[in-house]
Amino acid sequence: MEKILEIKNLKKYFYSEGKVIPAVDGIDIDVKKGDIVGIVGESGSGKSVTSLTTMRLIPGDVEDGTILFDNKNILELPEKQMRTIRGNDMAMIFQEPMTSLNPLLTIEDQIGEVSRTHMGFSKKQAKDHSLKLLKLVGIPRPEQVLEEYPHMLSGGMRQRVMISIAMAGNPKLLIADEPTTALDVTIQAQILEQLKNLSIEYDTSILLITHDMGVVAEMCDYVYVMYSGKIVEHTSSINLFSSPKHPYTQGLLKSIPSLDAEQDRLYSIQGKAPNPDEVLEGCPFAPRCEMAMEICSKTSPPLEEIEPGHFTKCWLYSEEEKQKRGVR
Amino acid sequence: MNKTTTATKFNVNDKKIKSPRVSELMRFIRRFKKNKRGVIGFLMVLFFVVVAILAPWIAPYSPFDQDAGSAMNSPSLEHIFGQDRYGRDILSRIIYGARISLIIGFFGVVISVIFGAGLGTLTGYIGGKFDTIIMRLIDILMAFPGFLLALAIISALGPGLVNVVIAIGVFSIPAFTRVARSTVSSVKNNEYVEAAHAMGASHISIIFKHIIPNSMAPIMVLATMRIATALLTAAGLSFLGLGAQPPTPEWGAMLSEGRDFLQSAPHISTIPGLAIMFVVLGFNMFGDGLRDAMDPNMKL
Repeated sequence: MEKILEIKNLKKYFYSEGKVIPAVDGIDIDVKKGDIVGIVGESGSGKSVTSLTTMRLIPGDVEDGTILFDNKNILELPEKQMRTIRGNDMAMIFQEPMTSLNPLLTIEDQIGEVSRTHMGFSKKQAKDHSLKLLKLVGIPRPEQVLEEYPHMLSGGMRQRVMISIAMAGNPKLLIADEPTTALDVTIQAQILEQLKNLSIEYDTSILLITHDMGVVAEMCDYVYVMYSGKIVEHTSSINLFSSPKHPYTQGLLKSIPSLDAEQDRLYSIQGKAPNPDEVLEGCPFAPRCEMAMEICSKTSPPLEEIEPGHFTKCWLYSEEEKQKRGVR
Repeated sequence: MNKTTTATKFNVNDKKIKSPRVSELMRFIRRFKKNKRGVIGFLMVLFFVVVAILAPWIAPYSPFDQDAGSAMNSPSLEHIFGQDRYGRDILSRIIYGARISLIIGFFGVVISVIFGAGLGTLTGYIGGKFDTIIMRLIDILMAFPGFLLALAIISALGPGLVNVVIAIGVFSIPAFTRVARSTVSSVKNNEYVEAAHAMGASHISIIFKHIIPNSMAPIMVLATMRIATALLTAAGLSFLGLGAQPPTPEWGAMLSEGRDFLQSAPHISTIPGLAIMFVVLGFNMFGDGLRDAMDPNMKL
């Protein structure tokens, strides 16, 4: 299938007080047309930086890499052209629906802004379009909501409004950065359902940034697991949940409470994520890894295809190491 | 919030349903009305504004008509506030003076809002080196005591009302720049600004649609209070003979004219002094009330 987004060897570093912080350190991500692709990782793993860099919303150049969107390298586009892509072909939903809307503008103004900017709609056309979008995301009494201000809406409603703003330009790619983190569980399920339906109906690809494995299981066709600015494992979500390979992924999945088994204490991965500015030799996960071997703290493993369509970045699966340990 | 939802529910078929914009304003007014000091300040300001507008109709005499025979007469029934050294009616001069004072205060502040808040918005939004350079320049401007700065500007431009307005405008610029800058640099970090970027909005449209409207509150409060300062400075400059020139009925100038007769005819100085005091008090109380009604946590 055709790819809508192709991130190749993307490196985005930050510089602070003479230190180099490799927030995103050479990652490759592909998103196919119509797919929902998840990026999972804990705080500070670089997933938000990845999404913001893809929108080119972070000032400064990237260190290296290309981002092909619709076969154009958007990192080379002039800012003016980039603006016509943002909100139009590529849109974004943010984490905090409570603060993502301007408190002084009506919902109509805010949804209509996109179609007025990008499609040159008149005020009347923009209003009709906004109404259609609100109906699309399942907002009750949409005519009234159009005239209301953000403080009059609940968190779930606001996130729906955000989604309708993102869908206003009928984007080819929707980047959702933890869209449901701030919402309660029932609303979360509704919003996810909505996103999934929109993706199918409009053939919109979604890049879903989350730290919630449950959300991934529910939504994604394909998953990338990020740790410390690098991709440590990627495969289809069916593969990932049935046979996780990387010890980090295994740890994440183990730490989800199970309904059938009785558990006193939830499993947790020991230690904490490394500071982004720490220079680590070898695999960044090694200090926390239960399976760590000698080689792990010396050299970083390559990202290899260990089964068809299943990639992981871990020495456990390299042939030499397997032989050393006597695993067949 | 609950209240609004139920209200909307009940009013769905009601023709008189209020638009949210109106109800938001009503809420602000309700909050403002709770603050007695603010309301009193507002009424005082309103009183002076009405007097200034209606001056030709309510003034009992012309502010310029002299009557040497009754010079320096104390307040009487015909001349409630008495007469000055040329026998002019002080009440009429105070009434016309309200026009001059308010115009100076208003336009002085308009100048500082346009340049000061404009500059502050830009530096706050752009940040970085630009911000550092501009703010250091503003710091230099702030290092001068305000009145001295106004004096220096007047001595460079020459006395006169227009120059007073310019001097007062310049002397308030730093205050507005700083307030606008700090407000804008916090407003620009709001997620809706990032969301607007993500929607492909240009910087200019973001500044005008999102940044400025959301930074207005502290600037309006500061403007209200700064009108008082501006007025006071103008009166001070006129007192020194650098502002309004005789026979213009400016309060500061009137105060100055009466200072030779403080013992024999104290009303000539006292009455314009009281007028200045009340209008300044009114603006300050109104400004405080505005601040409390807009955001009690705002620090100004």
